[in-house]
Amino acid sequence: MSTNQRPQPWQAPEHDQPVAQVEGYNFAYLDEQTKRMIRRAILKGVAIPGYQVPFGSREMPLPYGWGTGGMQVTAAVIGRDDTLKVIDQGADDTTNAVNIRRFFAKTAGVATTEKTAEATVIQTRHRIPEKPLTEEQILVYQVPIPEPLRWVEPRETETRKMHALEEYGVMHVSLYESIARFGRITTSYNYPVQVNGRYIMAPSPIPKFDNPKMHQMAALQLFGAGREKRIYAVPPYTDVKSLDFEDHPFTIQSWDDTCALCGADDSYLDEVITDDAGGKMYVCSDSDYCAERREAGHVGHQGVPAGTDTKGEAQ
Amino acid sequence: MSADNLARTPHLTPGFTDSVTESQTVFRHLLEAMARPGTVQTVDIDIEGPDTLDRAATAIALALVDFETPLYLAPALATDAAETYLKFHCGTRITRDSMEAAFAILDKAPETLSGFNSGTDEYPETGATLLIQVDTVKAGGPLILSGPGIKDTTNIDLPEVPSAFWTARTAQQRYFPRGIDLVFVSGGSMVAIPRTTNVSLTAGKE
Ligand SMILES: [Zn+2]
Repeated sequence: MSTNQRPQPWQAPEHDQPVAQVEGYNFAYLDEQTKRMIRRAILKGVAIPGYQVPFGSREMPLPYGWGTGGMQVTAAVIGRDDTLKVIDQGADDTTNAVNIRRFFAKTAGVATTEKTAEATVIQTRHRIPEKPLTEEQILVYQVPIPEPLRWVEPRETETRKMHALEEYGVMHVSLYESIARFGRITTSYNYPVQVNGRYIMAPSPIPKFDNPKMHQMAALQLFGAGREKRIYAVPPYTDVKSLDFEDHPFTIQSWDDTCALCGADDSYLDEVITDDAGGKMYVCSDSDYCAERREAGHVGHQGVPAGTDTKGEAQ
Repeated sequence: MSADNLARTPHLTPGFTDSVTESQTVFRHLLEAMARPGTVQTVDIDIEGPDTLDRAATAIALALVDFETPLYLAPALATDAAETYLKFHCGTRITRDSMEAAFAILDKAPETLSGFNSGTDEYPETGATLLIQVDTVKAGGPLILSGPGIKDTTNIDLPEVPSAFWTARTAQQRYFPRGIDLVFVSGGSMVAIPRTTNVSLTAGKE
């Protein structure tokens, strides 16, 4: 099959309404046999929370690192009635997020949205939305490295045994060494968790700020790693505990500042450089959360009320 | 036998009419059932499957079973019509050896789960999925479910499943992550009890 002359799916203009599915693609790109295989892996992942199910990853028309694992999970899950939101680092408008959204709008004809509350399926890279997710939603994570033990044990045969026997001592030793050397656990992203008191799992490179949101979440959480060919899951209302020690309890990132645009003091903030002189401000990483707050009338110390012309404000 | 010959077999009724859409719909119902044990999901799809199979069992087989997943049918369900249908529409191999099956369709809860593959500690996902046909699956009732997917606890009623089955299953749960995942089906309805779900019985009916 020649793919050379095909227009690439992400070159399509973006639509936020359902569009007719484009001829020449299977629904959501994958063939039915591949979808069945991925679906079976997802179901076993749900049945064994936090365990990484191997699957026969397929080539997707985007390079690894663009979320091919998450895309395969989304492609296997999504249906015509779904509304898809895609975020990258909390934002809907980055190249990666826009490309993935276009891809599914074109190959599956699904509706897309930037509003967390309107989405039934949310594919994410590096964040969990600030707005609490509901029982009607599925969160799909793009995962680069699914194995949480990889940095203490490079051999797959060994990590598989460690998971099988629940031999996680080496992981705790490694975390404790970080405390001994730095006075704290220095990991801020992809901070390891234990699921339902059993499997240690990589939450993907979300900030540890987001880890508590995984615990007892109302939504189903699915994880896809394309290059390493692993799928795993956390069912709704499941315990997810960040690893810690009695004398060094788990803590999340915090800021002395609030969001400059919406004034939020409860969201994950990104530092934004505002001028060449090193001026900076902090704004919500979750762009939908920030926009919704501003629409509701919240104004940060650098912000202007929603609906006001912002010309001349930007640097 | 060629596909042409099979298609002319009088027993052979159609599978899904729109296989892409209907497979996805059935999968999402089963995913919801597995992710939220104890909730009753109903497949609203017209399929004229084999007489011995409930609609939900046929739908799940059509959506998920293929040449990679050997299928076991309980003797009471394994009519020529059922085997021909599943072989033709799923491209699966029907196995007589229950230990070899990735999926099994049963006419009642088995006396023991030891006749089925529960996977290994290193590859627990190879544990089988059993589709167990019963007359009644309903929310509320004497079975108390807890575990992942369930906020606090939930109650269901599976009146035909003997309490000895639950006792045997509970004993087997200590081998987790090895285990067997159960889907009780009745007509178009299904309720899943994956290996992590704890099931206990109330003293009496509510
Ligand atoms: Zn904000």
